[in-house]
Amino acid sequence: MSTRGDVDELAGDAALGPLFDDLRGLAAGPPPPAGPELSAVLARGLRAGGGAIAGVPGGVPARAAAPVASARRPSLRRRLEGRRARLALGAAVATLSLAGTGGAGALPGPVQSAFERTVAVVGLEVPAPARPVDEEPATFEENGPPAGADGPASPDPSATGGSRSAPAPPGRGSGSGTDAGDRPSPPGAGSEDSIEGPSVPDPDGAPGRSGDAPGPPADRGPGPAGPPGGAPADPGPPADPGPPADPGPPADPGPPPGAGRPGAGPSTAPGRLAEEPGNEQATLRRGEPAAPRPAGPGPSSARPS
Amino acid sequence: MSPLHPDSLPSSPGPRSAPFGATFPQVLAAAQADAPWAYRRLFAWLGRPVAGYLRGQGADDPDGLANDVFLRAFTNLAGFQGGEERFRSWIFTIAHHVLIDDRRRAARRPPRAGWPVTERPGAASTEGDALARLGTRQVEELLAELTPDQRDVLLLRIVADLTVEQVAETLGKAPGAIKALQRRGLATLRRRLEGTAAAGTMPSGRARTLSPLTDVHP
Repeated sequence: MSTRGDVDELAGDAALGPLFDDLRGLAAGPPPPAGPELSAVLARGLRAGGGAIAGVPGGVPARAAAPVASARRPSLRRRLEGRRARLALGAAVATLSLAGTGGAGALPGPVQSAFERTVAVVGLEVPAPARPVDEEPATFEENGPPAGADGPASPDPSATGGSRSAPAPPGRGSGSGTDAGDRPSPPGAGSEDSIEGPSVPDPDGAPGRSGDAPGPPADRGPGPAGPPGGAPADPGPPADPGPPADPGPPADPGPPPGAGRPGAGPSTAPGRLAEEPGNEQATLRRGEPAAPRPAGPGPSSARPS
Repeated sequence: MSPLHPDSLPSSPGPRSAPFGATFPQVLAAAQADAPWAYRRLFAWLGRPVAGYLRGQGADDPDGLANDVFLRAFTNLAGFQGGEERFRSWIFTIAHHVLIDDRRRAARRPPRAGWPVTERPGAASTEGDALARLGTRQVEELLAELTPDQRDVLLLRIVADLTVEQVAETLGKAPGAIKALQRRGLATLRRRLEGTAAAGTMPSGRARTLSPLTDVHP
């Protein structure tokens, strides 16, 4: 409900009435003269004469441009945000791809070396890279395909060995399948490890596969492992897959005593598992001599093919 | 004939009435569609009240500020919604903001020398205009007795012909506060006018002739 009456009632007041007339006289009469800018608008409209508004004093252009600017600003902001989002997404994908490839050791040699150095400086632990494919056939024929190549352990115990370990992460087994036979290990280490380690003991006692063992610890060659068995220890994390730590392709030494014979007990990946701390402790607990061996039996040497 | 054609609308709206009535939506739509004739109608309707309000507020250049008010209003007209009364209130809200901006700018610049505030250099110097300016000067002297809030309220109520609610919306105050300001402002004016009338120097009985300016400007 609008309230207008009290002022109009006062218009008849003897003292205020004439004043009201004078005040209302301010609002009477013709409109004020239009300036050039307003004249242009009154003559041609804002769109045709809008250019003259830029010279209007009193902050009109800023206020006039405000709605237009606010209407344009979101689209520009969205556009910038889209570019930023795309750039961030691309950078994230590239970083993850590089990190993943480097972690898998699949980068080209110099790049991989630089990646490992960088990772070492940062302090991260990265598993040793996979051996190049062209180095594998020597062991592939003897050891069979890398575990990572055919995935988890074969369901056939008699074919895969006596111990079927817990499923290793895919991709890690590819390197371990080769490294296992490369490194010398104490005799019998694999059998103990297959019992006490994370592997699942196989009642058949068939020799296991190197790829069945957990890959990363064996690949890295942790510091405490190895020396009792005479196995050359890896320099420790980060793993150096280079030649000094890698004795090279295993010369098949024949089945070690108590290992690698089908049905003679678990002998899963002795070379690899000997490097694990738990394996060494298990070996020491048993009091078995840590006879140095140049190379442990290859996993597939105990594997009936 | 198109409903938006200017010939279908009243040609000379009065300042205090609702001149457009039912045709205001058409005028507004035409102005929002950037029709110059609609701009001219709106300016002819409210240009003078806006300039009078600014003059009553003591603006240095009320006509120039009125131009700014309408330029700003026409520029932002696309976002306006409402009827004739609301449009009137909206225009005076813009006028009040333009006045505040002008006062802020005036506070930052040195005082202007030259013509007095209410005398326009380009105005015709006829006797009628001189008398009109004299009356305007006296009214401004009376309004100078009021506080700024009281002057805002009375000018918006009397010159702009806004309701208490519209004034409250324009000034951003509560309607009760507007009523109180109006009451105190009118009481101040009454005391001033009655005091000068008691002096007995008013030949015509009109309060404005008792202004001290009468002696200054015979």
